[in-house]
Amino acid sequence: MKPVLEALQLARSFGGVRAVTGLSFAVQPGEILGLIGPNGAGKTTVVNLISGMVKPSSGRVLLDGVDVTGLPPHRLAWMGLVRTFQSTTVFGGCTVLENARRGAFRSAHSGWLSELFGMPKARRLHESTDRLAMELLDQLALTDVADQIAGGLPYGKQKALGIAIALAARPHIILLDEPVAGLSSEEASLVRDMLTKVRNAGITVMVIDHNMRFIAGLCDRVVVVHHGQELAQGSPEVVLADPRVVEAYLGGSHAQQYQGR
Amino acid sequence: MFNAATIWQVVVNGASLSAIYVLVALGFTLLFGIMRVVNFAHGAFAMLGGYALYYFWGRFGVPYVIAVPLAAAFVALVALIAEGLVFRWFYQRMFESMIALLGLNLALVYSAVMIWDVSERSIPPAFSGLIEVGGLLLPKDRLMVICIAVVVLVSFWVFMTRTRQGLAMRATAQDLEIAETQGINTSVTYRIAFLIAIFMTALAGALYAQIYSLSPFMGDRPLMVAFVVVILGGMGSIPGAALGGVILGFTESFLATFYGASVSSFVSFGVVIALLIVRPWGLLGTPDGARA
Amino acid sequence: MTLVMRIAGACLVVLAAALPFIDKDGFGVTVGTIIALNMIGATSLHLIIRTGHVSLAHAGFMGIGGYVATLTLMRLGWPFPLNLLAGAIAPACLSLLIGPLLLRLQGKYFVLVTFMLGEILRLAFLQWSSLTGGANGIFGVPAPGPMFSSQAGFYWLALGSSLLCIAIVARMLTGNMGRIIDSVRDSERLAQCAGIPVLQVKVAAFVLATGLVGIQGGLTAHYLQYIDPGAFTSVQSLSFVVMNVIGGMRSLFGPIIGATFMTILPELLRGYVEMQHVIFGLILIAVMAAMPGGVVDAVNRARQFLSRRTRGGNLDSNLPRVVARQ
Repeated sequence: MKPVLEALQLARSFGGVRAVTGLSFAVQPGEILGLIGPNGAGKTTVVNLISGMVKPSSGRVLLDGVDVTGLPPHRLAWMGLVRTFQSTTVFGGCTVLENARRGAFRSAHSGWLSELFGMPKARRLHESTDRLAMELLDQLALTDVADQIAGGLPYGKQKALGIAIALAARPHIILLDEPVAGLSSEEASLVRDMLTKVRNAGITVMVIDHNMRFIAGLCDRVVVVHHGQELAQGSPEVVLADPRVVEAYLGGSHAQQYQGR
Repeated sequence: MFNAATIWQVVVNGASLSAIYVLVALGFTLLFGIMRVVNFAHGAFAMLGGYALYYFWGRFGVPYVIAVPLAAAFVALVALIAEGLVFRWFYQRMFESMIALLGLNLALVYSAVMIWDVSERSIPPAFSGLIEVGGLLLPKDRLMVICIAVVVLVSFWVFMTRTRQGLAMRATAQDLEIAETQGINTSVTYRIAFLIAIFMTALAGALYAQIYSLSPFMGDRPLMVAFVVVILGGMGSIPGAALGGVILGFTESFLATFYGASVSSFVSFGVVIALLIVRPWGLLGTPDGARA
Repeated sequence: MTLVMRIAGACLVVLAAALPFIDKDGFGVTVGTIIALNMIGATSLHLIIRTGHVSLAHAGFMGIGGYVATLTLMRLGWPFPLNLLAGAIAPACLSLLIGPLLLRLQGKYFVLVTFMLGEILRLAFLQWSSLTGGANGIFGVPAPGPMFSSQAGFYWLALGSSLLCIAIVARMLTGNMGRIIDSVRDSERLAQCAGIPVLQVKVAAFVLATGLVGIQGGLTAHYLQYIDPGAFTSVQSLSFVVMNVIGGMRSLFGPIIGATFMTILPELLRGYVEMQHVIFGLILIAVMAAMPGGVVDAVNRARQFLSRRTRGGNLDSNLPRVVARQ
């Protein structure tokens, strides 16, 4: 089966710093893939590379077999790839419901001319988008705060809203950048359940995080990144027991210190 | 046209222009780097420096070498009023500071018009004649400009790198919260930074008015220069401001001598716009984010 | 917009249209004409501001429109509405060309670059004397056709153009188009990931806005029967920005209120030109210190305070988020 998303020998340098070198992986349809690595491993750069925010210095990105290397994020969104952000999760200036509506731009858009002249086609699409937005809020347990300003929401709800915004674009693959950073373990397991439901609904999921426990509990497969390169790939149990991965997280000298004792 | 004498003239003019530009730009970038304020009134303070010199040197006859820094210090101290009434409401509020300081600029410039009228006046020359250095002829007044500027710039460098206050200022520029938790008194730091910035600008204005002429609208050019230099070098970067000032000073001197003053303006603007498009963080600044 | 507001708006328009009949000495019509013209610039700039960018080059584009309208009429013999159209298309073409480059810039850099662009344009008007008449400008610009050559006639032309411009900008800011623009301003990254072609949206707004202010340039040339570079300075660009800031940058009512206020203010201080500028400067400082959200925001806050509940909907923070981000 053709992978939904493929990274081929991706590399990116900033000035003299090689943030990512020769990274390759594939995301299979219907799976939940995790990308982990210690802080500074280059995970954020990888996400930016495959979501179109940064152009790779070399290598290719394929979406459903189509070469999308270097395409900007909005084009990728129209092709079905959507991502969330770690820091800017929501549109802070409007209500939660409005956030969901904004995320649903792709579903609501009937073409610039029909928008401009308020044609019936546009109006019908807007109505169905409104329904879609409300459904999404319901699925993510945000209906009770639908009329509140998103900027004032508690952190956990903002993260959930961020996922809602991404889902509103009706993607077939969603990339989540550190979806549980700063969340308590109950909130994190809620997110885990949400993402499992998303996958069961037919959307491929890729999660980037440094929280090993969360990734192990959620993902079918895991890719470990360190110093911008792939360190290990495979099922969570195998990968996380790999001594190279353990060393990467604890730091080589520490491992030696412990061994020496 | 490209003979040795003209080239030397370009170099000398370039050096004195650069000195003035670096002074203006440093003040501007200090205010931005430390207080996050975009001082659209920067040119007005330069203009006030020019008028102060006109009085101290031209009217009261204070010896020139004393009059110049005295004028600058006077303007800086008086400007503390503006600091307390205007600037301090806008520290760390970049957008509002832009508009409010544009307002301050208008208020200062047109007050100057009401006090001194629109006509241009010139500051009596301090030195005339040429001095010979190693076979090359150097106009004395340009040499004085360069010397005064160099003294001030070196003092500034020593202050920033060798004194505790200088360190405090650099720390505040890097990270305000951390600086505060380290016990740095930010309002004192801001005030010192403000004094230094206005002193340098007023000094530059005095020197500029000496070379060219003095009028209430004289500050428009230094303001533009501040923008261009700071953008060239990267906003908030001190070495960037120095580098940008030197580049602009020599480029303008070269273009103005061979192609006329208006070409020089166009080219500087054009280059800056081009640079901003390609490298918005300036020559020495750092990019702060992936592409939009 | 509630029904009450619609009725009030309609009444205001009717009153404005009837002004030449009410106002006997012509002073009101003069002020009204200038207010109408300024509203074109203020509301068109508002469109750019709503995408999150503050342009200090707006007067420069107005100048392009003014000169093109004048020159196509006087040198090429183009008839009345056509020269105005040319005056709208010319600045729009320039912004179509450089917009994609400029609008990539972050807030503070965009402000500085447009400030310098405005200066370059003014210098160009000054230097290109064979075309523009240089510092002296061009005299003897004829009135725009027999219908509009009387004071009242021109007033109705200006009023009509102004209302048309406001209507166009309003259309862009409401409904789904408005939602798209608000998304772009609130968070470009999120908007991109929702599929919105952020740069194209900003360029479209920029092109439309500069085209509209070009119309103001052309009409002003007809009104004064004269055009010179002195009208297209950074002070004029700043005035447009201030009209938005004072009125409020969050809603279209802002520039409408701001344009009215800023036009009337100099009339109140007539004869004290320097004093005007000083007071204007001081007002700017006070407004930015006390109510950075402008009149509309102050009114909203007052209403909130009085009703004491939080409203839903588009209650953004005071300033365009892209510009405020340091």
